[in-house]
Amino acid sequence: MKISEKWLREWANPAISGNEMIEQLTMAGLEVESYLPVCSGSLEKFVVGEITQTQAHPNASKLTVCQVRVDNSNAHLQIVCGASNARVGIKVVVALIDAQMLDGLVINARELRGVPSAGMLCAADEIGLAAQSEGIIELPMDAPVGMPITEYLQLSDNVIEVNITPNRGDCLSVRGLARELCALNRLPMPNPSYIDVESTLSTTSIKINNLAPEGCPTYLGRVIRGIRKNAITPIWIQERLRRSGIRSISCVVDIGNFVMLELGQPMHAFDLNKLSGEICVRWAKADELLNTLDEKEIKLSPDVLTIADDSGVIAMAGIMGGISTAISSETTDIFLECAFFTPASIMGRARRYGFQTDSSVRFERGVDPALQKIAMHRATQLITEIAGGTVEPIVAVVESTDRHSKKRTISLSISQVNRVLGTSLKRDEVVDILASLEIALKDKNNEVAVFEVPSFRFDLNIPHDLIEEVARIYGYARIKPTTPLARLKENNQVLHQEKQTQAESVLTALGFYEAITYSFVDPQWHALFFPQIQQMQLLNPISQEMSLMRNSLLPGLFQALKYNLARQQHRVRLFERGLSFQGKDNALAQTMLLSGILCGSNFPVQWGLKEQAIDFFDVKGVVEQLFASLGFSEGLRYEASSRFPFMHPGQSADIYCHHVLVGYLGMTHPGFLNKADIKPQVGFFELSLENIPEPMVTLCKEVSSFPMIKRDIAILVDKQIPAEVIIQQIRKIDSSLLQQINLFDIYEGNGVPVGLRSIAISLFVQHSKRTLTDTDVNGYMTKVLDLLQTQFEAKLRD
Amino acid sequence: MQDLHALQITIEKEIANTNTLDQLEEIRLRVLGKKGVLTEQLKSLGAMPEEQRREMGQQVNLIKEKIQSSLALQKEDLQQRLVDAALEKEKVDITLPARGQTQGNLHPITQTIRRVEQYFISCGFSIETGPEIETEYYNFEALNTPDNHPARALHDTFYFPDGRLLRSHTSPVQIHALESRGAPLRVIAPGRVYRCDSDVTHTPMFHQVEGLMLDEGITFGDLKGLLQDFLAFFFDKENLGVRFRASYFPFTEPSAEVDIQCVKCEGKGCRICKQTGWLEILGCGMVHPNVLLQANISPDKFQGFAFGMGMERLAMLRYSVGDIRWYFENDLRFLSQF
Repeated sequence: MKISEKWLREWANPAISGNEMIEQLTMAGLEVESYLPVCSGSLEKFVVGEITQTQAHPNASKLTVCQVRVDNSNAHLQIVCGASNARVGIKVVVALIDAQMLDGLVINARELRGVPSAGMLCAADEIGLAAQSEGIIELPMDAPVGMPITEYLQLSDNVIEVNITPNRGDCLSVRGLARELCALNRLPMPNPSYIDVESTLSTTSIKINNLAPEGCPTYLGRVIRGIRKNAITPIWIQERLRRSGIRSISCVVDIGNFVMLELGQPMHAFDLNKLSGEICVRWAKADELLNTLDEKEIKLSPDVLTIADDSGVIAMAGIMGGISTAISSETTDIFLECAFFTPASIMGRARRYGFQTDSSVRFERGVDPALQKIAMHRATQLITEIAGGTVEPIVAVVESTDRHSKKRTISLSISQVNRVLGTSLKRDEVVDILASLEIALKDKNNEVAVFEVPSFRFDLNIPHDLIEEVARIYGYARIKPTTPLARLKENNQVLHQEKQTQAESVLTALGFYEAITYSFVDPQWHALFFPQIQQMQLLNPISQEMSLMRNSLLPGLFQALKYNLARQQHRVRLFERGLSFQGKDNALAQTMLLSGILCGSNFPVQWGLKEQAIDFFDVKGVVEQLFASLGFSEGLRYEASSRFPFMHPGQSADIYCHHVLVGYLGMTHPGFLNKADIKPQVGFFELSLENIPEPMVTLCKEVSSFPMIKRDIAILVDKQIPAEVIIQQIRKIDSSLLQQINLFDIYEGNGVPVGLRSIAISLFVQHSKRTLTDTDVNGYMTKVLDLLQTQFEAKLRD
Repeated sequence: MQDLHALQITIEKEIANTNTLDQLEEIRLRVLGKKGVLTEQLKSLGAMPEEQRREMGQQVNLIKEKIQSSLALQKEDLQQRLVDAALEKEKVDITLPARGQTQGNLHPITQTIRRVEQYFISCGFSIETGPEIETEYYNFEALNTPDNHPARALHDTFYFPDGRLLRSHTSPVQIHALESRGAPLRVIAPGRVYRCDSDVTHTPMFHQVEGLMLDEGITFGDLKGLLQDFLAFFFDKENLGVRFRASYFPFTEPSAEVDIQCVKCEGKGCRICKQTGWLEILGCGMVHPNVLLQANISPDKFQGFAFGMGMERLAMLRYSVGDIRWYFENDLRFLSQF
């Protein structure tokens, strides 16, 4: 909310500077977002003037030569003006010789098309009163000629913009902010006494029927007849509205807004002659329609409170009026509404239709239920003063049993205040602080004090609410920081996290950078990876490209890859850890994945090493190193698999760790790369962190002190037989002897019959109790070769 | 006798002239080998009369020792020459670039989260996580923010057709932790959160760390003490200016916003702090009794505080990151800086 500092100081004027004031408000929870002068220039040498004579310019049809009085003497300034509304009798803003305009231009005496001109008549935008304007300003007729304009318009003022939190609806007015300032500075509370405006007519011409007292405990209405059509909002009201960012619309509407800003009570005025029958406060019927003031058709639901007449709904209560009964420039008779709608009946309704109004913001946060009569009189007073008219009596429909009209009390023990805040405040201090906020001590005798909450404070319900008030006014800064005391407890969650920390440090050591991609992806891009998989989709995404919840981290990583490839980064290694969202609705599972992609050369291009693009086995190497770091240098198994269309059918596999499926890895399908518009081959892996088993504690084996013997063999074998199967079979023979097995060469081509390949393997054998003899080793090798022969028809290669 | 002496001189000269270990070995074999000159001499002693044999024997042995010592000296010399030659040959340009794999790193946001975790783990907080697709109950209702509450307007929340939503803050993890672990409790919850907002200063996804400490007798003063200490640790500045000002969150009471003295201008006022000298850094407060009651914890017995902070902002201040959108472009030229 924006408010004029001068206006605020009329209500509460502590002896502190403006900067101190905004600091005070900010620290007390009324955060000041900006504090700016009303006028960006000094506007010296700008005065009120009066045009006493005009004459057409001899050489220019659009210019007028004006004689302008700028002081009480009979002297006149001759000023040439281009505005069409320059005419005899109006009061204007005159920039005198040497006056500096806001844009820096200095006014000089000069000739305009041969006619001397000694100043300038200003438009509203030229002195910063409006963003744009037509013609020159016409000041009210009673503006004193010669008065400096900064004085007349009170331009040496600042606009304070306060961010009011949702709990403090009571501060959405000058009076509300003034209350806070008085409490903070221990000043007496401003309690202006408004005169009750006596009705000048004895009977009331309108009936009010309240069918929804639970949503509208108080409804006041009053008819004012015969207001002047051409009444102009006084400049001081216009200026205050403008400083609060509210546009002047018409006299009655402006006064309504003024009272709202001043007291916090939103009001609404209907054109009496457009109403038909009696006024009814009721809940909307299903699908009832309303054309609002901003000319939108709204379909109402039954939980929206409305004002209706015989023609149907004429306003969304406390939110916005309808166009059919709106005030116009022809309006002379009005029906003025001043009501208390409960927060529960207004909350969220406007937001549901995608808007909010100054009125809805106040009602949903809570308008003082004791305010309606005061506000009605204030508005009546201003309207009759400014626009005339005769006044009917107030018609009041009041539900006296409403809980909002009863005073709330809260019991608070002083020791609880200190227990929560860590302070040692005395009872008197607490009572005094709360009293400054009009929270009155009711029961003086008990240890537990009972306080009565003022009607405008909707946010005070439990002892903690009062404790916060005490802390705010006492000052958060004065509460001493202390060190919390707590009980020691072993922190098992930290151990739990170690798995991912470990995996991440391996990946970074292998040259991977961690990426963070959005959890929602483009459905079309996603479909290239996972066609026909049902996913959660957002109802209100930022854009279609960010609408589908990911079930894999790979689409995001591939997008990041494309981004980098397009920026001359040819070697890309990225990984990401994050939640994936598998399945839909009741079948939704949110699981933590760790995924990576790699492309370009396996090692960074460097001297002394041939550049080699990554292939399947580099990806596999990354995955194995990662698992080794988690305690699984053994126990991994791969099964050829191409479960998704982006996977190369001959270069992809599922990964099992101790027989649990933990993820997949591989190279991309060339067809997929074409569709995705990616040139280089890309390797990928995706692991489910939750599926990776907890590593078992190592049981130490004795290291044999006898020599280890190494034998190399090369066999010719059907190339369809997976190497892993051969190695597994070899491991089964005399497993106590075999210490290590190492496949060190694969060869196909010259010298090897078609359909076969040569596999070279080193076997390391060792006995735990004695030195192996040649005979032992030869015997072992014979068994190995026999097995390879019978199982795989493998032959020893010469 | 003369012969022997001449022989010795000749051989010593030959030894001194050798250039390789092979040449030296050849001499050794020719002189001292099984059929070497001196070996033959020693063998021939047997046929001599006793007196002559003794004298002659002494002579021959003396010469043998001298030659052996010359051989050893020369061998050492030759070996040294070989090592010197090898060293000269093996010299490299040690300024050539190193070989091997490059080192990658963690995302600056993750590094920031780790730094926050480091502090709180050392204070005995444990790390808690929760789902990102949440229910209204955990994201709002259990946090004292019923339906239609105006505070909901502060969060532009993403919804799913089935009524669920993407969590708009990490605070729901508080509720999960309270439900599953009860009080006393000390947890932090880092994670992704989502709001339907995308412009120069907002991304629809960002990261928060939520914290909760609940025990008997934890006060607002404790909240101030711990967070002040944390911020001094995080920004590596013992006397960091910190201020707590009143604010509002539905799930804490009293609530506070915490500002730190601007890390760029040290409070003098600059573009980063919008001339105020202060930077808003986190929100916090004493846990609202309604939140505890929702989780079946007695607010009369336990009280404590909760806080939440944005990691993108902390990382921006720590690393001088100029634009929040850079975090999620995953440009290697950005990522490799951290």
